[in-house]
Amino acid sequence: MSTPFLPDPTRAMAELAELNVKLMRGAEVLGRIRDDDVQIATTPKHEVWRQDKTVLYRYEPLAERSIAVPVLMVYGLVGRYTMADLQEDRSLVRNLLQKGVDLYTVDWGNPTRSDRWLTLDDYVDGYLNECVEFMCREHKLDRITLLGICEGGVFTVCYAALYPDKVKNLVITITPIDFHADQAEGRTDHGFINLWTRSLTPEDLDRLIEANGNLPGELMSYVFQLMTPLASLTKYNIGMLDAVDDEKKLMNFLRMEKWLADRPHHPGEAAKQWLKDLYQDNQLVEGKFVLGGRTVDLANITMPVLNIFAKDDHIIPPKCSQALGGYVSTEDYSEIALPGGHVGVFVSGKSQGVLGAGIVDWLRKRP
Amino acid sequence: MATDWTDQANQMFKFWTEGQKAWMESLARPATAGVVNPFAQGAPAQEAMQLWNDAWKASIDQWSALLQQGSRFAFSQENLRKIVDPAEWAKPAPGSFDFGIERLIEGPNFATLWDLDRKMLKLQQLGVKRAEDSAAYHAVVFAAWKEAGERFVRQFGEAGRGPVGSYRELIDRWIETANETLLEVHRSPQFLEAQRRVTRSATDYRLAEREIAEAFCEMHHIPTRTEMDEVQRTVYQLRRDLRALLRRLESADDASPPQKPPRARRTGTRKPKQPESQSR
Repeated sequence: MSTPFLPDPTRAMAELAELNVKLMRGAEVLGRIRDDDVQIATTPKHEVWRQDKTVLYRYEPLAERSIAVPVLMVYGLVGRYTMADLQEDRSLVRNLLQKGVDLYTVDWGNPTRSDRWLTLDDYVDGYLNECVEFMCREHKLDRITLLGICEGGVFTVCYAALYPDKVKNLVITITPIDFHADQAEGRTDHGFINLWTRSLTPEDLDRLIEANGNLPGELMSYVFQLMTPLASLTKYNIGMLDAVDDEKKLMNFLRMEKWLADRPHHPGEAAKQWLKDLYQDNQLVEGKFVLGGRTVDLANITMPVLNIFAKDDHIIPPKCSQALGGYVSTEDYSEIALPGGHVGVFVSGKSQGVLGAGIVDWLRKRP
Repeated sequence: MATDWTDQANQMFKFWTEGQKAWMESLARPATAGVVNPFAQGAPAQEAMQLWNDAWKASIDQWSALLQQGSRFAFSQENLRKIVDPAEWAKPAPGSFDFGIERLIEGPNFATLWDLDRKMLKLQQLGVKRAEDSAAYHAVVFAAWKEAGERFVRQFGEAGRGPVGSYRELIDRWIETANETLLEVHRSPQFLEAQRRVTRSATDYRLAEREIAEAFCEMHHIPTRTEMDEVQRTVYQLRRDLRALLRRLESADDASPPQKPPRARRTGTRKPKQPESQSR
């Protein structure tokens, strides 16, 4: 006799048999895959400039150039830029190159304890500025286009506010601007990082950085996992089971795992600014954030701005991103709201083409 | 070879404890022949002194017992029970286990007392604090799972929710329920505070551990973490100054009349075109 809420035994047996077949197929597929088979960020590129651990790459063109002004893609320090080029058929990088964009990207490297003293001033006012100047010299231009992603979006926003004359167009994606706007959403599945950061005292963060020399990548991974607890707990059994007998799905899963496992440490002093000045004190929209001795005034952003956010972004709630529109002075401000979550915007099958096409269409109208 | 700091700490603690006890006992011991002992039988104010002596001896015993409480060699059954009892660990106030250590650490700093033992005791106390905070954190998490389980079972009695069609559906329902419950708990003040405390105590423990490691380094002529941080800070500052200087030089060059070819940028290195298919 079956328990009232359990499926009947005959069906359960059939389900078990199906599961066994799946596991056998999966074991066979997994047995064939080696770590070397799982490659990410494979779009050809070459190094054009470096300073300390920062490297500027230029991608090889995949189509005739259709956008005159080169684009510098800037990722943050919380993850690695390779997310924008996860695999051939899920790659913002390839989508942009195939539409004729001359694309560069900056790689901040893998910071260690020896980089603990680096500040956001160094990244924005130093390395990023050097990259922009290098590109301007190479292309004999006064200005280039910046494409910021997440924390890198904050870097580009700050840069555009500090050096408006060097930025032709500003495109930001999934970027937090108002770090307290998560409270306006009232969703239990959104904005946990904002809440977590506010639950700590400034002294807690100082001690954390003092003890570790940086913001450990493992700690940030743990905080990310708290935002999707069951998905994190079940991904290697149930989640993987769904993909294990389909090689293509499995490879997608493994590539994402490779990217997730490559979470760098965030340089200590820069992490203090990121968590205390921005997440806790919300200095960017308060007009109090200082870089390189200058206050970052968002009203200085007068160039065209495209702000792209994910409607179901649990890491950077949409309202945190959308806030930018209320602070910039430009009259050419646009938004694109894409379906999906924080990473899904870049790597999901559905968003492929939509994100890249949205950016290129917008850039073409602003040559 | 890796150093077992816990074992060393315990041995040092035991050694120090026994030394302290011997020293205090020697103070109360009757004087040897030829030496005037003001507390000897028949001395003036003998009665008062006897009372004082008794009190002194009693305090030695208490002191020794108190010290022994801090050593893992002297765990009583009661203390052992407390150690494995999460309710005890979760108590915000220090338990009797670490009371002795706390007293020692919070006592006065003596100039001639070897500093390392104090650091060891501090580390031990912070280890206890970390364990307490960790247990308190896990208590909140366990409560969340318990709540998720109750919600999961409850939903089968709800009107309109029929039996599940398959085991997979059953698992999916459990995942959904547990996920919602955990998300709610993760945003609760109790969880956030428990997490904050355990993060802080783990951090404090790590810093205290570093103090001991640095004492060892200093004894053995090895640069400490703090010294390395100072060196790295100096290098960082020098590099920063150098970049600023080069930029100023470059600006000066740009402002001067174009009599000579433009100088190459030296703040970064330009690389020859060399395609690479891998990011690292």
